[in-house]
Amino acid sequence: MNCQQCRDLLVEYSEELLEAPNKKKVDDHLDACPDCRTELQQLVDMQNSLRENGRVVGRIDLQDRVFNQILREQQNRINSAHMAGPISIIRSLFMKNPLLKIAAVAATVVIVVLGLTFIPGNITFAQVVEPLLNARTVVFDLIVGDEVEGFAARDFVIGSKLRRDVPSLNNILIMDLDASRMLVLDTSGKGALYIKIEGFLAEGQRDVINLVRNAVSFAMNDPDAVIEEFGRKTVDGREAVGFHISDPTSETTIWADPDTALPVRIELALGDTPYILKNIQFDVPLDESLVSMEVPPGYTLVEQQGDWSEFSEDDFIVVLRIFAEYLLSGSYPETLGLEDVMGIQPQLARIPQPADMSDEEAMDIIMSYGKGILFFAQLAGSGADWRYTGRGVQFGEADKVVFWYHVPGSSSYRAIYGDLHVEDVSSPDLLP
Amino acid sequence: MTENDKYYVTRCLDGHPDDFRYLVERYQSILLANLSGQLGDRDRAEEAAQETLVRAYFRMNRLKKPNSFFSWLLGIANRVAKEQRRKERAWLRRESPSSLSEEAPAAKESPHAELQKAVSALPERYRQVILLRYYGERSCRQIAEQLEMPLGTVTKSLSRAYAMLRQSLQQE
Repeated sequence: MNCQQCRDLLVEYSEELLEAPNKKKVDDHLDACPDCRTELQQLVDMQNSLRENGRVVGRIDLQDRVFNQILREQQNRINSAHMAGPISIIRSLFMKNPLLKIAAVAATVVIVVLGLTFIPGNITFAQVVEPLLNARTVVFDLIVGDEVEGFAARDFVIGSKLRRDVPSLNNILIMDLDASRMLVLDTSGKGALYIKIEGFLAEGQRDVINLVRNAVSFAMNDPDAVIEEFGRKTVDGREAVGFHISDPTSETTIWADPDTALPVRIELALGDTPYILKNIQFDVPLDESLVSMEVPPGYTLVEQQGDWSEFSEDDFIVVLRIFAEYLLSGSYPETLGLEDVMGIQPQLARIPQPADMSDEEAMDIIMSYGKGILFFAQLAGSGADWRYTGRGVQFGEADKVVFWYHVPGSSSYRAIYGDLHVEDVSSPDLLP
Repeated sequence: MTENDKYYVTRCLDGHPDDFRYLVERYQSILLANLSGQLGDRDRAEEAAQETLVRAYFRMNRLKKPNSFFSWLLGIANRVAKEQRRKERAWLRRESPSSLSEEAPAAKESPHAELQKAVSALPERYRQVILLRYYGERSCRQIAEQLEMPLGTVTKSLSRAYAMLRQSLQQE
């Protein structure tokens, strides 16, 4: 037995999991090898520290506290369900026409993935990724958040067209990035809608496609990165070689095909949000009809065309209004971020449209919602100073700021108050 | 308490919410260890562990694979910790805007706190085995069964995790 073979077995040895013959081999080697004895001692020390730490953290009994809180929350939910009745009648909004909800869904799907463009730092391409850059088709599953519970989509990239299937939301997006146009399909209600996506949104989607490629070159180029090899393993049903890359801002694990060196699975933790790209395939033959911009047979096209090329603060105010006035019974949300926007999706699609609101008006509001999210995504991604301060503020409170941001390229700040009026503020010291 | 997570999750969803107690009992210490490392403070970690379990209770119907309860629970805990840190930063900024720009001299942490921090910074797959082994007092075989992986993968993960912990403690 050599040192490496011995060290590979030390955990099993210390856990008394080795069969007698192997145990004897390790014993014999340890008798003869002071280095491996030191290695074993370090291992045992670490195990003892962890065991001791387990005792310090100690036993805790949260059962009563947890169940008391559950009871309180159940009571609150019952109370707010009672309140929601009259409120939903008085303030009901959108969805008389089920076709319209597809725009709201599209807004969510788009923003979820724009999260990926918030990645800090500049990632440059390297020659290593040349084959990826030239791949004509890429297919992958994209998961944001928890692998079991998070947002999951399947992406098909064919040239400059991207198709994103989101079965959990009954939604398919097809984007033609050269034509700056997106077709949204609602597979449950059989509705179809075109949205113009010039500028920020189209660029954001390109970044997503490039992410697969970037993850590789990033690892190769980052001088601070620590790259470790994991060896071979079966990943998502195929054999792959793993690399783990740590750097100060992210943890990346790349599983690559051992023959082609192309990535098959990428796990990224950026800040606190995990992204998983899995079942990645390059240059698979794909039918062009997958990314056809024609409305499929059996679908009804919404007459108005949406336009998400331009968006403004006014659109963002619509988002705040929808959160506070319509979804949270008069309170602003605790936090405002990607997860919150994703979380309200199911409720958004259920808000009924009032009888006196025309489809055009409802459509405008829904479109503004999507654009408002884009405004927020761009602001957050631009590195501008902004803060959401709406926690505990009630809808209508004119003296409390719920959101403020620095206007890029100017010295002034914009502050949005609880009643949704907006003021210019000269200094951040005047803001919460 | 020998049933697996799937059994209790199914029981809860089948109209026996009291059985959630067994899951609380099984994971409270593990959550506390994980969150202490992330939040650096026992009281806040207890609060966050409580909040994590309450959220899990109300969202259990959204758990697609009952076998993955533990990893799902850790995901919720991560979000709770993140929200708590975000709120604290906002609070700090309001109370003393200057404190964020001036780096406060870091107090020397106790070895226990350092170790917890290092554990909570491990990549998830390694963190899971360490948490289960030392804070959940599972044997390697039990971990293999729970995470549905070969015993050899558990011991390799532990080995890798020890190396990462050692490295991160040396850097402190």
